[in-house]
Amino acid sequence: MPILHSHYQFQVQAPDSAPKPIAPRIGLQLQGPIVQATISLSPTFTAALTDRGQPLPAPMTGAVLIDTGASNTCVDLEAAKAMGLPVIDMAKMTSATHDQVDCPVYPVQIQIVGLPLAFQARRAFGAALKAQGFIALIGRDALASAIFIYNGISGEITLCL
Amino acid sequence: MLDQERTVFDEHLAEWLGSHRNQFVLIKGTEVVDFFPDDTSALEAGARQFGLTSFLVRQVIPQPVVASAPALMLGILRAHSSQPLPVPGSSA
Repeated sequence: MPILHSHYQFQVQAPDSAPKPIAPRIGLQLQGPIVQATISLSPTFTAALTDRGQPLPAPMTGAVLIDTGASNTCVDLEAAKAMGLPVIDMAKMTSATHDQVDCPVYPVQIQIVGLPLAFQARRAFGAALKAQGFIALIGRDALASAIFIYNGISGEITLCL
Repeated sequence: MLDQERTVFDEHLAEWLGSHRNQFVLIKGTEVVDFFPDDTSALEAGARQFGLTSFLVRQVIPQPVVASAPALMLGILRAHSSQPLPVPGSSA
């Protein structure tokens, strides 16, 4: 069973001074459980495209937040469009300012960089994440097949599939 | 996006709840391609027939799934404290 164990090291840049390390627990609280991961088309899709001799969308790598508050995995809309991911549905997401908003749905895989840890999110919601610095959120649909431990005391996370 | 496909789904939902409940339907344009026992086989069939063009894969259930991501929708995925941070080695 592949395991990701991250002990977060962060720095703060105070005015007129060199960067200083902050306690891992504070860094984890402020930044959240972030991992570097690669978004690509779902393997279900890629096998069929390969059989058709069709080129595959280029994967994209960036910061991904593990968000246990999100019911579903989300991918950044701009990233999804840039990759040329196919839309397989339009679905509703609750909004803070409106009742519900329509979101495109994409079949994706999210692979943790450097590890054989891949989440299958065949119905990932498109959302504007770029402004907040992420290319994806790993939601509870993907976490349904994982064990996720958030150790706020030591500033560590453990993730295994 | 997928307006035609969603219209076809909505028009047939009541009928399909009797004949294909919980199955996954694949629709392209106004054509109902087929029904599948799971989303994986529906996606695979769609990819084989239509490649990277958009098509609809949706489960035949009475109420659609509504997603919720509160921190995203409130724009607070990165909520930084306005208070000074404790730095290791510094006095409180």
